[in-house]
Amino acid sequence: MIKMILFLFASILTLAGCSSAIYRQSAIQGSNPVAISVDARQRVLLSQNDPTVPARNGAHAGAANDPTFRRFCAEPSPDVFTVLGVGASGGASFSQDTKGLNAALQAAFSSSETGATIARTQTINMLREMMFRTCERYLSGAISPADFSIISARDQRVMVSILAIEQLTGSITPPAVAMSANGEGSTGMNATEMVKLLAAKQADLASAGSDLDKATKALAAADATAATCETLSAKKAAGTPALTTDETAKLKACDDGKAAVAKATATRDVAQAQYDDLVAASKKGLGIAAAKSGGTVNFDQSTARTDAVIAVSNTVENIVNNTFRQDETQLFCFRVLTDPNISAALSPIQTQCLNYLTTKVASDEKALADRYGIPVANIVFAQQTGVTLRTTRSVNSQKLHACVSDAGRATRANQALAANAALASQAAPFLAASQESATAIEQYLFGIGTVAEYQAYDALKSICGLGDGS
Amino acid sequence: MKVSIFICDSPEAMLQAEAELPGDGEVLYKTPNARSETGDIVRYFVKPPRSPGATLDKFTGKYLLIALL
Repeated sequence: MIKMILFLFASILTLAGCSSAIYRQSAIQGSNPVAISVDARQRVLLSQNDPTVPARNGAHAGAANDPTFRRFCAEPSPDVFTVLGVGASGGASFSQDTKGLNAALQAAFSSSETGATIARTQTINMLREMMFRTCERYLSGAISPADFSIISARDQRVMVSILAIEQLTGSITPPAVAMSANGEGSTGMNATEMVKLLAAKQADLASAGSDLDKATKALAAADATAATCETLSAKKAAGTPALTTDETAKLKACDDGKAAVAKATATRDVAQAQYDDLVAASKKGLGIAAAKSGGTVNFDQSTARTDAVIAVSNTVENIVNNTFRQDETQLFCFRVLTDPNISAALSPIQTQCLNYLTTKVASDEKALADRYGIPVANIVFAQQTGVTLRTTRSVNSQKLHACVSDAGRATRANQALAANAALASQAAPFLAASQESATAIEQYLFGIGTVAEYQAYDALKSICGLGDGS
Repeated sequence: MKVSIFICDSPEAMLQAEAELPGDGEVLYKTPNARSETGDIVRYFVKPPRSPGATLDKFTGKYLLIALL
């Protein structure tokens, strides 16, 4: 009996620990495409074999049609996330008394689930949806790999543009909604906090107003009828007759009073603006996201924003203009030259496209040359030299790594490097990098400079069979 | 992963260095136009006693390429 109770208790704990997480996998008939839905709460992962890549022979029995690789599309995570909390506690006590076995078992379970929407801008929502739909079309064969690349490039352009517009106009983010298991929901800032904040800002505004009144009265007192501030200022500007000691003191009181009024006015204006912003925000139900993450409320409609928008808008406009300068013809030609179906249908255009791209490359080289003030030929030569050297280095690095794994050849290589005055000091790290890996010696050679690199190739040419790229 | 800094005498040398970058190399910065650069190199010591070190090396009228390897 006790064992049964304990078993049930353990079973309940186990069930409680994984309660209601959902995972389903649906195999669709055909070449084993798969749809997978995972929790939080039901996000879909779609998968399909790449039909353009032949299946390989399976590495295990019965897997003769294993796909070489798959295409995947992961649905954007849902707008609601859940936090599942499960708590369990249990206790058992046993005692053997004259009446027999007495077992007591206490168990307590708690389970709660809360969720909240994730505040996202319209742009983010649209981009997530747009990119997933592009992936879906690619997965289902509606668009080719070339189309996919082109659409992705266009998506990036749209992304920049929309983000820029959002920056200009001020993003509109739906207020987050929090939900809990007992059915309560709240949108926007907690009402109590909002009221407290309003009261505080109202007090600030009243205080600032009071300070302004005091400063104004002080200035009025200094601005005595017999010798007004204006009169004293004019007398001081004229220089003759000179101000008396009493007049100088009065004029100072005037200046101090004016400064105090200006300062109090500025403080009151700021307090008034903050209060107005808060009142406006309270009507929109803003605040929950900021209140939870940072403990502050950000008001997008602050008075400084107008200037900021003007300053940012020019930069953003340039970004948008540059983004829309993307070369659609180049993308079209890329598609014509790489998509076999399209190239078959548009074969006459292939030549024009090749010419276009060749001209484009030449144009880019010319622009680069102009920017650096050097001839195009120098650009081409430098790039070709670099590519040649990189290829040579890559091949030689493989050879060096294999070469120094042989102790005899490693010793001879060390001697050959040491015999060269320019390389002697680098013999040890050179060999260490060679022994470590081909990548390590490749990076080392990249860092020592072209002259030393070629000297090393010459020194080790016969020992390790290195080419010099010539 | 390491960062390499190339201080080149000419734009051609800088462009050659860029073309030499291994396949997974990434250009972090290069002198953007015909105007060469002048400045100091702060030598950083990863090991103690402290980082960065105090050694400064000057360069004048050079073209820079900074790459992540």
